[in-house]
Amino acid sequence: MTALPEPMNPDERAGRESATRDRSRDGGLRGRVVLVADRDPAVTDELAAVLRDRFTVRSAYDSADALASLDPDVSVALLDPSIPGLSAQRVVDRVRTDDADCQVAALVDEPLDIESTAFDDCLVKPVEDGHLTETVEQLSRRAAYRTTLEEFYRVARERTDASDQERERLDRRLGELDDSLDDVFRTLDGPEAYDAALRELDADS
Amino acid sequence: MDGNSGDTDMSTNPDESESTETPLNVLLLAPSVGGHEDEVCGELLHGPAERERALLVTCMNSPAERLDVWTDHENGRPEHATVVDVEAAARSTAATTATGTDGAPNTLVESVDSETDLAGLGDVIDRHLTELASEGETAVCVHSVSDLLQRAEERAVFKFLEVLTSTVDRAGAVAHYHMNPDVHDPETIETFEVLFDSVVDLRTANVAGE
Repeated sequence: MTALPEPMNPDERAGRESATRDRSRDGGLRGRVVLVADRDPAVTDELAAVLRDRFTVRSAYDSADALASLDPDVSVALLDPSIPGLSAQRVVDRVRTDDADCQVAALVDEPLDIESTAFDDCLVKPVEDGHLTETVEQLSRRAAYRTTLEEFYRVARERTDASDQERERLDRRLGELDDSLDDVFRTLDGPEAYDAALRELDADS
Repeated sequence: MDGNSGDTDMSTNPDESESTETPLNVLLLAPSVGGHEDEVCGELLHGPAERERALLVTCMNSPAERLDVWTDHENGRPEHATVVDVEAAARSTAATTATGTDGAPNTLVESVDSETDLAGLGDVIDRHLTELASEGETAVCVHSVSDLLQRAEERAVFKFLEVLTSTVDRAGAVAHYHMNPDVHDPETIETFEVLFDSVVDLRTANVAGE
């Protein structure tokens, strides 16, 4: 008869369960920075005003401004690709690095075929307030998923050659990250989660 | 090697209903030689409740080889099996309804284009998983993590598997993932272990069981 081994438990799941679960429903979206840049300054201001209720917002009025504002703190950027000098490629080159993660939506007059562009989403103007907030929230969750997953991998790697004492701390950290990932995953469908997790890496390969 | 008696239970407590006790995502460390990999794979797929739906992801093995593992099980007569064929370039290119081994009914083989990246593969798996899981309890076999590591860098495979294990969890399915410990350094194995609910190591099973 085939002997079936007892499953081992490598991650002390019981210990993880006790991690506090006091995160708000939106999984820590507060404090996330959104950059808005439309070719029409009035539209930029309008969109920024709506988003300020929920996010920290930066406005930019030209491409130099916009590119300068795209630092690693920005998790969502709403950019008008018709601003001279603000091509999708330049923006994506700027935001798709391992350290900085940013989801980018195009502000457009006509719907775009997203699959054929480097953008993550598009917003057709005029953008209705509810749809705007919803889109930015969803992009922000995707950004959070990517960032958290990247750290999850890094800590899992670091743990393999850590001392016992360090390992305890890293296990706790892994538990926290696992909980955060679960929280954000609930708000994404399967293809969205794969895309959020892997898109940058695919682009690099 | 006398086949399985059918009463082997992967859960820690055989009296508990399996939905609460069976680990959802299991890493199966199967060395190149020995370890009864196929038998354990069959056990993990069927479980004590004799699941009738399977999603088999294969890279180096042919779909027929993976289907054999599923149908060779003594009670194995699956209602539905879907094979996602990752290294299908040399075989058929379109989704085809295969007759399956032993005439297994309702067997679908979908070949994934060789250009498909991990995100695209994830989408294909997700589509089939959602479909199978909507009809009943589904078991997933990924054969194998080692082969995926031939296709993509470790970081990407790690992230892919985090998403996959989460979708398995959400679909209410169970899954196991083959990995050959002989071809990776211990750090890689240890890194991947954190993604799973439990690890079955057939290297230690050999020592203890024979």
